Amino acid sequence: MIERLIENWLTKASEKSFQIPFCYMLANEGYTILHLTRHCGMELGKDIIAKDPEGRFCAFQLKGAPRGKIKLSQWKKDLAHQAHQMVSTPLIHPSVPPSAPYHKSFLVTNGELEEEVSASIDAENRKWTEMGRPEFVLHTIVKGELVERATKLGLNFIPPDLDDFRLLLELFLEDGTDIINKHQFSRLIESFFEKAVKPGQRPHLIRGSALLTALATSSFTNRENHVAVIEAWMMFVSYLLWYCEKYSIDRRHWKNEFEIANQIIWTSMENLWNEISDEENFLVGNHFQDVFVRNARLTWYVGLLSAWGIYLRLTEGDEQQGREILRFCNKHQDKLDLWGESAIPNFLAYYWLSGIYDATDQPTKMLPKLLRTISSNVSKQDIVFPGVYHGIDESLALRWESDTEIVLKKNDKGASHYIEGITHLFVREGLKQEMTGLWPQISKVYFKSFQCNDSLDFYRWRNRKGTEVTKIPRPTQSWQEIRALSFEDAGSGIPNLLKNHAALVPLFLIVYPHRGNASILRWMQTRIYEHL
Amino acid sequence: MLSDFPLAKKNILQFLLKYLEKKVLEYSGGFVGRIPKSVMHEGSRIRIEYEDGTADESELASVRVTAEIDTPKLLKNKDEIFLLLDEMAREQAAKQANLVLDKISEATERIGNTIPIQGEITPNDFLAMLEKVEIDFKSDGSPIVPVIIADTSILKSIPRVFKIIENDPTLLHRFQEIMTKQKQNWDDRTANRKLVD
Repeated sequence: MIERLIENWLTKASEKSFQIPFCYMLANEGYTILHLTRHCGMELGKDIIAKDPEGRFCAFQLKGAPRGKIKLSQWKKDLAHQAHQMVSTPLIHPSVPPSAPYHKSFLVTNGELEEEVSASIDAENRKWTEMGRPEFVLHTIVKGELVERATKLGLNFIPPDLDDFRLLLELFLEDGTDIINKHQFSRLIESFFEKAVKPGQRPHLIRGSALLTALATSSFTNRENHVAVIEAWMMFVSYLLWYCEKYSIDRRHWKNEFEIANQIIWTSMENLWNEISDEENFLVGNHFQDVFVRNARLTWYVGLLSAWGIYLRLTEGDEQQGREILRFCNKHQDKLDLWGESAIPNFLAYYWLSGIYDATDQPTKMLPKLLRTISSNVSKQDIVFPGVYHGIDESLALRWESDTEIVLKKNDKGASHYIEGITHLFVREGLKQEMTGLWPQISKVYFKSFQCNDSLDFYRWRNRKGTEVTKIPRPTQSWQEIRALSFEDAGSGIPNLLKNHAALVPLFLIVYPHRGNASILRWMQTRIYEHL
Repeated sequence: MLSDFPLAKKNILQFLLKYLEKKVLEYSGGFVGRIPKSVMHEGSRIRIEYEDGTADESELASVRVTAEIDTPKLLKNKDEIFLLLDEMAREQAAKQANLVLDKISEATERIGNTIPIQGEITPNDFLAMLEKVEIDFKSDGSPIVPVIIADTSILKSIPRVFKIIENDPTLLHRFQEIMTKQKQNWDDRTANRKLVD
């Protein structure tokens, strides 16, 4: 049954959505993926750039064939020109040295090629060979090969009669325009990783998990629902790290899956940027209702893009894109909506990005504002301010809930997962006088956190085991003591592999807001500042 | 196959559960209802770390009541379901209250916040109790009177104790002193919310 699903998926997909599984197929065969396209017409016909196991660079152009075949008219109209560009223009990429041998070119389709198209490609290839340019030959990969390669990837770990398959189908059949159901997706991916396999089969299971994620999120990819794609792949990365750290799996067995997932996340972020950077209204669907939620949507984008800016700065040292993102965030800062505790990581990402590029005291000023708003919102009974376990949609829905009992149940009062950490970040700034004014209000709020039984549980969406900790702050607090604590940055409770990828943490917190606590905030702040 | 009505049945179940919840609150004398509640989304343990550095940790405990449905009886009179829910609510309220009281007893005994009472409660016992608890005050200065949970025989004797205190100048003076001290403590607690060197 899973083979039929894969075949259906691959053959019905557009090139955007079979790009991801195709990358994993290449990785499985020993290729190193260097570049994924943004599908914005700048790639000169090259959707994927990779290095084959022999070290030769390869360019792949992907073409969806939703009607089953690429016809001669379609080939002549636009594909032949793109193929010509791919074969005849050299690869330009930082990982491809100018002295490298000329690249190999591939046309990949999830359909068949009409006989006349195959004949046209053959004729062109013969012409190049006769001209003494055999490197310009165009190779083809068609439907049958794709399906065969995909089934080798390890999805056979899903027995067709189990709940997993139902979960997979439900996600697969999603309309793709909604936000992703993280609870459902985590159940699918966690259950897959929990399959009992022999140690030797673990790398195979890892490859299968990546393909499973691509399959489960294909409806979102098809719709270019970038935020859903980003969230799903961030969750995949989290579970991948969980699995690899749990079994101490050598990095060479998961490097490809990790790096491709990262490429998907950050390419989707770039696509999101291209879509919204010049947007003014941020309205979706019926404006009559949407005006009430669009500021929350904008806040989410500000958080996600800030996380991207931080990632670029910490990994590639990129400054230009980060500055542009900050300009975008600053332009919209007066519209930001703190919809509940789960919104706070978005504000923190914006604060951290500002701290990187803005040398004035503007970034610091965000913190007392945030502290005042959180302490006021969690204290007042009449303000709907749901806790950290309620996502954006659920939190916004609660504002309009007419059943007061439901509001009372979800509108957690008196405690915050983030106020302690934000207090520490602000104390680090040394502004004692302002902190003195804030403390009476902050000290009325209980500091909440979740302590995992095993630090690896931090990666999981939900844990049955663990301790919910409520800390009652001291009414009278020593400045010296809190200042010393604010500089503690060992990051206790954060698992090792996540610590090794600090640049991912701001995005991780946006996707997993309930993992936020004072320790991770202090640790992250230090990691950012040590890069400056 | 007989036809089913999932939407209607979902609403019926919600209605019955709400009824049960309301009755549990009613039978627990409002006492359980006054305790702040929050949903726990993860984990199986709770730890509270107090401002003095001490901490309490506990496992989650489940309170469960069961009932059997007599279908023929229910078919004759569907209101039987409410009698059954009433019965369950009484049992649930008692179990919940016992669980909470056991926790309170455990904590008070551990920190020595208990008063041994021999026989009937006396005005001195009552005043000693009032001295031990922490009383909060409203913004107008009036006290938020603590809830008294006690055995029926003790509860019955409370009005008599109040009357004795009211009519005895010495006891009344002590009562006033305790309340003044409690107000001072409250003011201190409020004023103490500050950052010091």
